[in-house]
Amino acid sequence: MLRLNNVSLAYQDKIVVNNLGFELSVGQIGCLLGPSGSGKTSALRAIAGFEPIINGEIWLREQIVSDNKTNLSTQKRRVAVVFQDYALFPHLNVQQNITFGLTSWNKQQKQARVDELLQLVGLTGIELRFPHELSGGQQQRVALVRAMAAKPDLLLLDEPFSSLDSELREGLAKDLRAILKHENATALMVTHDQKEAFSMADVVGVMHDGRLLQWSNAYALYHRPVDKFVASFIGDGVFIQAEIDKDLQINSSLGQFPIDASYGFNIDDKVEFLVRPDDIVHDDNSRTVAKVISKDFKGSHILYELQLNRINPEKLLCLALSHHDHKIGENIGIRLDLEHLIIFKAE
Amino acid sequence: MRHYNWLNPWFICVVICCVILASPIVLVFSSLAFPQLDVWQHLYQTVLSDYVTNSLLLAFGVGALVILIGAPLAWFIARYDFYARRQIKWLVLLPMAMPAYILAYSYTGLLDFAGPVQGALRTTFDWQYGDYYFPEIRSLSGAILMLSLVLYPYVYMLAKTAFSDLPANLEEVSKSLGVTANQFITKVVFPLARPAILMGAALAMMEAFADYGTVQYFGISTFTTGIFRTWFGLGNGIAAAQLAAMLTSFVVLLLVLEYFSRRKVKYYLQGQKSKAFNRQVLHGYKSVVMAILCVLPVIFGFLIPVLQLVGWAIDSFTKQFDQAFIQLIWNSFYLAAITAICAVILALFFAYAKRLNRSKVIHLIVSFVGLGYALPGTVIAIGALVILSWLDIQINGITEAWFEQSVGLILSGTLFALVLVYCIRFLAVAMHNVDSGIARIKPSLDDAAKSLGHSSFSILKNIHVPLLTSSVCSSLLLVFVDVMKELPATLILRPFNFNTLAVKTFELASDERLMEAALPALAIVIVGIIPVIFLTRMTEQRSPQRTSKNKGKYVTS
Repeated sequence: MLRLNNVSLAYQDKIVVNNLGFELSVGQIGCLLGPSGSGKTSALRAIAGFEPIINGEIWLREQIVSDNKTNLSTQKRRVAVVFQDYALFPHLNVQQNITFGLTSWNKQQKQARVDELLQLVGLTGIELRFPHELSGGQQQRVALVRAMAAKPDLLLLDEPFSSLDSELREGLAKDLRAILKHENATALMVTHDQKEAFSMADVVGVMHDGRLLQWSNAYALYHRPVDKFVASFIGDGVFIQAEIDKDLQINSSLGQFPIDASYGFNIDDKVEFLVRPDDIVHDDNSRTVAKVISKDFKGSHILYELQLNRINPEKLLCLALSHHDHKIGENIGIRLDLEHLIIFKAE
Repeated sequence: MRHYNWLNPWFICVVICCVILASPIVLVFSSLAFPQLDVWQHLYQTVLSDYVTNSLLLAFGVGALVILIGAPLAWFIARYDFYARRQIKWLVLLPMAMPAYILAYSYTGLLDFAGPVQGALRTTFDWQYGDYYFPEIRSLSGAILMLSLVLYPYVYMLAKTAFSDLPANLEEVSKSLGVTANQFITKVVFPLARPAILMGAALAMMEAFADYGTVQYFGISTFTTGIFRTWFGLGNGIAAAQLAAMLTSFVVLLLVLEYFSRRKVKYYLQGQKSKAFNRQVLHGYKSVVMAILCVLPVIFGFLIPVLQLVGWAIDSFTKQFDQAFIQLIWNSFYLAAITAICAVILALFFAYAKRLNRSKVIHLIVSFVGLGYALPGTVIAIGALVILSWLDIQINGITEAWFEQSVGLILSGTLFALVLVYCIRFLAVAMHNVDSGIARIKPSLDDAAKSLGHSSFSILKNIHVPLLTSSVCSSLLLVFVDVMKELPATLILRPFNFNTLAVKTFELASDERLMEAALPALAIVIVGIIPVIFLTRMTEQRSPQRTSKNKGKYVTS
């Protein structure tokens, strides 16, 4: 449905998207995830046809819509956009907003579609209200419904939850996913919030400085990051410095353990490996102890920040069940429980 | 790296319109290529320094005074609730209906030696000529005062919109940060409203540079009277155009200043969430004092001169009011209406084309056309006359060759020439309003409509025009009133036997027949009031500060 090949985009000679490439098939929900300024919104705008690209190709429905020469107008792309600020037309009521893109439909068809969509998002009865009379969550859903009304081939969502409060967000993200799946919509979302990305998308791409670092599902991003930025951006964790010793074992402050040759490291290489909070298990019987520096109560769990010892000031995060309540300054026993090693060459 | 499509229809249309509108201005500047050494030597030795100093003093004096009157007035009315505020809110717009030269005539009648004020002083204190000092109204400071009294609404209207649009939370957050009320004004409100205030002052200063009626009547040598004199007195069109080019360069400086101050603060209103801030209610004597303070500019800029005119008009009514007079009113009215509609359509078109094409070229071309506002009407008129009569000769040549018949002066001898010149001169007024209105429409609305399959034209029709209703109406009003008051260009370009109220007033007043001039002058003022009321109604309906919470709120979002 949507394919990007080596897409680059620049504003006044400043490259904001660099060699972007990925693919979305029909009915799939994709997400571009990245910190602000990573080029994700620019990429979205290029797909919508708001910005021309300087290199590469954007394919929609097996047809090139953008390359360095052509830029098919937005109107002809059959893509719909949900904007960060919703961009509801302030002078039109909900019904008029939703039917704004249905120019060639007759009155009954329009009415039926409005009813159907409003029911889908649980907003029946607000047809005649104006945007300023709606709550933030309602505005967001109207914006979504307006975008979906004409059954576009591709739905683009630009930070769709950013102007909502956090309680609303998680519920709406699930609802939104259900709605999109119900309509079998192909969608691409842009966000800086990984929770949103993970609860919405089938496939997530992490962007940084205009580049797409990894395009895969949430599990792989968390457990098999291809890049140190992805590893640190997704989830919590700390990097532990280590050395490869002569037996091709990792030698670190957390002990020694073997790695297999497939990692391709040589003897004496300096490396760092990622330790997630759930990789450190709290075990009162363990001989390795660490001092509690700070703690963060999370309900069922407590996230401890630990320091190994004075000689080795590296900090660790440990997610312990919440009945293991320890004071700050206390030394507690820990055990490393790594199932899969995420390891990068040290810089 | 980015390619620009030069052949897109919007671009071509803008260029064609601008070439037509700019041709008289270009003619003025191209005059610089033909130095008129003997005339300039004469001017330099005699009057040039007067022109420069008087024009500059006049413009800067007016700029300062309109800010001093308009900005505090806007702040009081946006910020406080006091006795008769609702009435005063629109009363203060009334001086817009009053051309400066009419104000000048009536104050001259009131304040000169033979007038009622000095007469009363003499009888009361038994003074004779020379016994007392009385400020001379026919002076530069008199002209500054006259112009400022009618031009302050520019600053008032723009500043009031800026003040009313300030969200309430700005004030709340300032309070919470320990900012005092005075600091809030100097550090938050003023910087935010500064572009609007400067914009209003810049408009007023351009008007001051272009004024002809007042300075001519007061006998002050400025660029405009100099241009007239060089043209008709010395008979040198090119030297007159060169003087105009010089004057225009001052205005270019104003425009540059205005452009940068506006660019620095390019806000898109966050809208929807922030509520408008509450007015502080005044009680007791404070309320009355505030009301009197706010009504002062109307008393001097409108009430006193109108009473004077009414008195004269009653005395001369039977002599003046006849069929010819009704014709005068009708001429002025439809000329102004046609021009206002043309100018606003052009302004909408330009503003939208600028929004569609973020190319610097279009912005430059359109800003150049906006310069027409700064040029004295005289010069645009002469520029247009030269070009149009040349075209007429060509057209007649063709029709005579092909149909053995001449069609006459279809361009230069008709109302077409007048409307064209008015459009050139007053387009900037419409553009200022429409541009700032369109800047308030979030760009994401355009993108949203585009992604919903609407063409550029459909977006203009369905999104921009409805959201711009109030900007469009205020543009219409401003252009309409300006055309009603316009004098020098009408003097030159009116078709044979075609008179307007302004021309008639000027002719009578110049002959010192002030009493007879009063009736057409009063008619200009009265016609000018109608759109003022209309504008008030519009802003009343659309104001985000209405008591009913939701009505009209959408305009700011």
